[in-house]
Amino acid sequence: MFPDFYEFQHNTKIVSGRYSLENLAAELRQLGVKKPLLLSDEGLVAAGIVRLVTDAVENNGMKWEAVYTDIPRDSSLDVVNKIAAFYQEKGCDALVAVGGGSVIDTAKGMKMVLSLNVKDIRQLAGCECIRRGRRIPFAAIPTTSGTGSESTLVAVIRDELRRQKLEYISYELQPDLAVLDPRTTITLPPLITATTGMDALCHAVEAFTCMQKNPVSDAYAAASMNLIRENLIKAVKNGQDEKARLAMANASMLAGAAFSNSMVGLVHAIGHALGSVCMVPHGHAMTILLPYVMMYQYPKLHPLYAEMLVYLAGPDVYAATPEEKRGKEAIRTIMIMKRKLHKICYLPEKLREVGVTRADFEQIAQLAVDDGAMIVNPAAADKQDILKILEKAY
Amino acid sequence: MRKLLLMKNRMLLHDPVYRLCRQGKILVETVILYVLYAGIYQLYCLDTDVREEISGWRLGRVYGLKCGADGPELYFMKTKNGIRRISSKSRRRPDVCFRFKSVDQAFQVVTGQISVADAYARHAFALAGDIGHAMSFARVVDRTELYLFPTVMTRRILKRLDKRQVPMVYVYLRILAGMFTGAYRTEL
Repeated sequence: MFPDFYEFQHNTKIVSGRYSLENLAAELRQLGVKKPLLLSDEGLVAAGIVRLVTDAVENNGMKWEAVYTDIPRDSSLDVVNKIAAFYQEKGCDALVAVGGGSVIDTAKGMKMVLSLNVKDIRQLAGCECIRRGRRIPFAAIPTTSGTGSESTLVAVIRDELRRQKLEYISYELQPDLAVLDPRTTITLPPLITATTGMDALCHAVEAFTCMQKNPVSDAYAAASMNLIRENLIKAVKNGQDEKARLAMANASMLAGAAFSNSMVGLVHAIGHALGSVCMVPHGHAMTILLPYVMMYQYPKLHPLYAEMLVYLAGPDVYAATPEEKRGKEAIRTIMIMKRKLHKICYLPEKLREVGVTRADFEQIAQLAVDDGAMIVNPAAADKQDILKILEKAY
Repeated sequence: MRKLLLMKNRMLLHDPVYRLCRQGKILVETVILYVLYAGIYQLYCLDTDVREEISGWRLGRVYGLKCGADGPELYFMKTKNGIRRISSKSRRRPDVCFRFKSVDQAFQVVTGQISVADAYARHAFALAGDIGHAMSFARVVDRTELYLFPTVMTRRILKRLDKRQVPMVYVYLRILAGMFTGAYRTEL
């Protein structure tokens, strides 16, 4: 199915491998950087990851102009403005974000404030309405393998004043550089490895099936699914397996680039709502919902699911499965993966395991239909449909 | 070769047929935006889904649709009794605005060749404002298209073909009646 029209952009340079952090100084110099600001959070300071990055840069001839490690779990406009003022006060000339989605989204928000010199980034909320401003070199070093923030064009920032999450979608938000070093994820516990890995899988599956899909995003999504199939369980079972860790970091980055250009759909729409209403961790929500949403969309998407089986289960299973059963087999493969992860690290399988009650369903369904991800979801889904999916996943 | 291409492009811009087509598209878009607004205005009274959706909008929220840099625009505001069209010269800044990148992309949507969702997937417009609020507006447009376009078209562009609550003809008659009573006049 070739689209009539599509756009694709992935500007981020990828530096992947052991000791890639040691290349960061050289890469920053290439970008014309002299006074970088490092952004991270206290958890990563305690885990020694920040030290790993600062040392890798300093040992290779570059000094940090400033280090800011007080970024909260859910970034907000106030945090973004505060650190942007800090950046200007210190006279920095580049951003290096070390962390998960929140740290990298904060850096993206700062990039908007600093490059466009705007006072209120609420005005920039929306899709493709951020123009190119002053160049601020921006490097991202992910410390989880799931969000794919290091290669996405999306930032979600909380507006505390209006109590809402603002969504920014723009090609201007993609980092210039992503450094994928297995040492930054090696300390992740099995449950976090599993839940973030399933988040990456969900990005890849939705990118492969959404309305905005295109041949290039398909290639990224397929590569991501292959890597997840081969490495997720290995990385969960043995966190010290650097090969599996690096593969998962790449899978997450690839899925991020894929969904940045083809968008995510119903799983994310419901997942975002679950996070808002019941504080369900994003990866848990994705893990629980993915197969149920796939079942719901099966009548519309079974040819694509059938195509995905080769990436999800491997060529042998694909070849051994009759054509008409491949779509169902793809869903079953994800169910089996979920079950295996549950056995290894108690990854939740049902909504009732993560504190959701039936009384929350109504609010979750309402929020989900208003989620931006709904627009590119290939199958129609209204509030009633979402209630049925929630019931099945409960 | 480059010179030839440049000449061809220049000729296209000055080609009277091309310019006429473009003017035609702008004219059609102007008419359809008028009918779209009229449709939403009437369906607020006739269709419970549209009414429920619009009732959920904050009072005073302004939605906008702009068809390319030099194409027609539609702005309307949520009021106590539904919606009210406002002028593009109004000082009110739209809270949510769909800005089509070209007259041609907008033409495909307003003439029912592709859906709003397809247009989004094709990056046909930039969206300024809260995406959640935009989703609600997109649902209202989809629902309105169900009444304005024949089933043969809506089957192609809508993800799901819901049942109409009132006949299409009745909606068009109400739209006509509204035109004569001045229900769709623009306010500053």
